[in-house]
Amino acid sequence: MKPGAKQEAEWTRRKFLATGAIGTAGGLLVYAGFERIHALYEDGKRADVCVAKAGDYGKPLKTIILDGMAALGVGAADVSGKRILLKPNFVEPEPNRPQIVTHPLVVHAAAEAFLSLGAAEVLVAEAAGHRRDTVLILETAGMADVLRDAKIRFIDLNYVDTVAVPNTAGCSAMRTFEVPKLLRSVDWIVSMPKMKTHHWAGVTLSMKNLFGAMPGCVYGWPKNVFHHLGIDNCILDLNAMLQPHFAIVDGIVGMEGDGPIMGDAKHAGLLVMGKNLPAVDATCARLMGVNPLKVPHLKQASGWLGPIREEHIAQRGENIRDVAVKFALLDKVPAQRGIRL
Amino acid sequence: MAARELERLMEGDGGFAYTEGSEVRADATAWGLLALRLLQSDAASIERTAQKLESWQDSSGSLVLPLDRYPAVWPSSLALLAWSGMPGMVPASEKAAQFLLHDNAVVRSNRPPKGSEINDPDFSGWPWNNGTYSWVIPTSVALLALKSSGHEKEERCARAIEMLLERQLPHGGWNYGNTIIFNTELLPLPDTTGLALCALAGHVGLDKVQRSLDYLQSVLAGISSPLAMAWGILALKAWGIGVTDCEARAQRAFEKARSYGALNCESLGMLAACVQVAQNLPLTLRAAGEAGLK
Repeated sequence: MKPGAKQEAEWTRRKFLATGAIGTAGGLLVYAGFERIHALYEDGKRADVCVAKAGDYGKPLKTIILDGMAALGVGAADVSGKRILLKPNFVEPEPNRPQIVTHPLVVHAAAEAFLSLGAAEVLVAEAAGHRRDTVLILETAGMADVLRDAKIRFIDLNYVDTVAVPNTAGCSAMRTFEVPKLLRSVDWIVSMPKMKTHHWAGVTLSMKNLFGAMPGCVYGWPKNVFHHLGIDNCILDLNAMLQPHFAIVDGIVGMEGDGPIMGDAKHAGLLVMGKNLPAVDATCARLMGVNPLKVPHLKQASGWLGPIREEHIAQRGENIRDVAVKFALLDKVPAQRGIRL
Repeated sequence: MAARELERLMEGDGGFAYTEGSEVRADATAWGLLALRLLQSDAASIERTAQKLESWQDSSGSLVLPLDRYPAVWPSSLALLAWSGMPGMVPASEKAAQFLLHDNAVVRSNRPPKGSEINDPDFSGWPWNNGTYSWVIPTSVALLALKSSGHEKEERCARAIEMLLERQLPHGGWNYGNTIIFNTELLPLPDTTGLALCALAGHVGLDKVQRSLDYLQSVLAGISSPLAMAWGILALKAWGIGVTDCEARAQRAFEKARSYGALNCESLGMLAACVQVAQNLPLTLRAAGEAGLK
């Protein structure tokens, strides 16, 4: 429930108090019941999410992505003539640690899939959170040659021109955000994270990936301003403001334990897709053995930015229980404590 | 070749865009000024760019990329570095130095969750954004800038040197600014390590940074990206370690960055510094200024 809704609820509570009706135990029970039903119903938000098997990066990923999109009802009519921005996660690429970044073959396959549906242009753009050397980032992530050979343009969002955009959600204390102008000029923003646990946010998936859409030249490396404002608050603000159109999560090899950098590789053999990011992330969490209702930013997105309850997400492709792979969580990490499904 | 690329990023008023087609900005203009001076461009261009850079300086002495909270003040250090040794820019330099020394706020704690073992907050350097935590890169650039402008004896520089040493990874090198989180040592980054070593040169003994120099030497041969390669070469040079083939390596890095569409004024400035090293020219702009380079 977004803060505005919370304020509304507070106001309703005050009104309730003013009436004197809440002075009784019965009134309290009625009110608590009302809030519980409201949360369970998720304001009528519903979404479709597709879970697709992809055993390794050698599989026909373009076909798998296209099939997933078709299962979600996304086709040429939605994409034709559009400018598509793919936003992978290249936070801190390291040689021999492929679990850190979105795999270049997944990014390439997504680009090909969108182009085959008639997209006018596909761009790859990222503002790596920890590293500043664009060339080294692309090379270490294995992305440089893939992009060059496919003639796909890469934009380093860390240094681009920005425009001040009001923070309408107001979860954090930021009045405006400096948003790359490029993000306002494309038709679709596609969040393409790695499926990972995270030592501050519990999990890092398509919603958290939007930290990497914001320029380091304004917010620093790492995006320290967001940490000062509250990570969960900023995840919610950025998702409400940028309103991304689609997510493709690279869960072929993800990361468990001490994510987002120092955790271990975890093979899940999955790509997860959808148009609603909270629903996609909630599904990913379940696949990882994490309860999305215990992940603060997902819980707060419930009923506002999307549904996260299983009964409100129409599952396409694989059944969660058939393909779920329990990702290791660390007891010593507060954000990962008590979030197991 | 680099000079021609630089021209494409420069506007008529001396301001620079970070990449071709983008808007003129303070940080890009500071990198542009550094590149112009290192490439020994004409005096009129250098003067125009220096003055354009000054036009972004506010009354506090800082140069800011705006944000309604925690403004990005890090271009202030970069401007000070770019102006150092320019007689006409002494007043602007002094204002920037005083901002860095006295008004550039840094919080002393990131308030990490208990048990996360974030580094000792009592060591403070400089932040990217005013009122946030210290990190290795803005601290290193500020130290280099204050050293180039003759302020290295200030107390805040001493604290920043301690902070950089404290943020050095146990196995050598620097990550972006933390060392061990949840009992796990982070990974070193070559560009950050090169920059920190440049900043510490002349301030601490070799024994304090030997592991980091070893790390840098072990990875530098395999690196051909402009920023990491250039900071690595400058760092080794600053610590008296010879690097051969600088000019050819700079040329290769230039070509590669251009082929990826990733050439920007920061890369050009750093590659110009590499060429400076290759030609055994003075490394600090302060010395360059004293040697008659405007």
